[in-house]
Amino acid sequence: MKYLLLILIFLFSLYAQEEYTLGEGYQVGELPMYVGGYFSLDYRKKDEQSRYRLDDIALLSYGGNDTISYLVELEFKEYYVHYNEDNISWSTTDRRLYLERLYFDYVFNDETQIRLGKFNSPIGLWNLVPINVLRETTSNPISTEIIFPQYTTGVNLNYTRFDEGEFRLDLILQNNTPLDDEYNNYDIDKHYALGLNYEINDFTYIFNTGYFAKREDYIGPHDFAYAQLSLGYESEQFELLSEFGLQQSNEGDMNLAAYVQGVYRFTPEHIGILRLESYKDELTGLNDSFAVVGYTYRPLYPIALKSEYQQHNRNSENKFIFSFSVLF
Amino acid sequence: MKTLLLFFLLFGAMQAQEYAVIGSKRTPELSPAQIKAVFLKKLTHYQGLHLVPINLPASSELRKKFEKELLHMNFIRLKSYWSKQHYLGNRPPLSLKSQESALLFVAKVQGAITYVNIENITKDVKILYRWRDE
Repeated sequence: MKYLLLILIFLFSLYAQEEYTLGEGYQVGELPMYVGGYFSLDYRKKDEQSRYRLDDIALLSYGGNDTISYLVELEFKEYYVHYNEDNISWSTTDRRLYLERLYFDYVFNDETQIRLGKFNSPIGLWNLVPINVLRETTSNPISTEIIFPQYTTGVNLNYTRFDEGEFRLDLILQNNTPLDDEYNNYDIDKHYALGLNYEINDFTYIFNTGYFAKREDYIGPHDFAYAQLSLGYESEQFELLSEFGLQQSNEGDMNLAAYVQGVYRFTPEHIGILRLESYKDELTGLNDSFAVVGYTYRPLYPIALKSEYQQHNRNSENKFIFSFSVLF
Repeated sequence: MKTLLLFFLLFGAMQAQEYAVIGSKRTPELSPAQIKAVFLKKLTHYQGLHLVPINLPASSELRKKFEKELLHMNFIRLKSYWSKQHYLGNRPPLSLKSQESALLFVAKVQGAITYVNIENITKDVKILYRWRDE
């Protein structure tokens, strides 16, 4: 089924209109249907180990009218990975095709819409646009990985109201097995969450809280509650992001994660990044504080060449990462 | 000297171009923040009407003035915004080649919104916001 969808998306792209802007997808003929995608290559040097990776190769299609719309995204993940350590080399491949997102949106009225399917959980500042090319560092903050489920298969009820700013309320409900269960940071069958988001001028304030449960056959802590506070500021040259999240399991284990990230655009093409992060993961017994210093070059916005160095308190985690990613 | 200064001030004021954001006759009143939300496709339905923002071409000087005046976003920030929206399944506003075609579109399509030089406005459209060169 997933391969059939992939072939269909590819065939749609053959009917693309002539006029094309990189990073904005193709329109399929005159239809209200668009096709796009992205890929990411990266290199990581950590201790004595080098890793070369063709990570994301994804195709997506979306479209609809002013009331009903859809989005489907299929992706190869870690398609080819090559390691080199102490003069020994080995490679891994993953040829499975993952269903990253599949959902339908229906607009009820001016302020309310519903989303049904598998989608990025609308939580925090990073999770809605989690792909390499759309962020300023190759790595994600740890808070996006150890606090909440990145994907939800269920319902997202959204209420949005505009006055001088934009207020958005998200209700997330999952009470079923997920679509493509291998592709999530937590293997869940329940997720109930609330999100409050307010944007005014260049400021964004977000509060998320929720509960999720791992699937019945999972051994270990089963139920988790979480909360996260996010603050963002963006101007022409400068961007400041900060998030603090905590998670507690039914067995009392607690995860905490926080970061502050500053981004400075020297020019539209040359961008400097500094991120300070700290986390404690009681489930795995890990805790760490580290700094990420990065430089990103975007010859065009949808093309990114990024380098970053991470200096950790746990010295074994120090690493250098370089990546090349494109959105089309 | 004062007369000369007054002359230059008046001359400058006469030269300052004035522009307007316009909508079809049935388009409800919109605040500057709401106009911004319409052009970022965040506000797509309002008072029962489907809102359709219309841009001029990316090379248009008026478009740049509009984006500075109401969106408060430069080219690269908008590019970043629309790249993210592409990943999320949203499209940028439709672009038409000239103010004349944008004006005609707005006059005919309920909920359509665009921006034009004030002298091009006809009685078939409604002014939602006006500004002039500083």
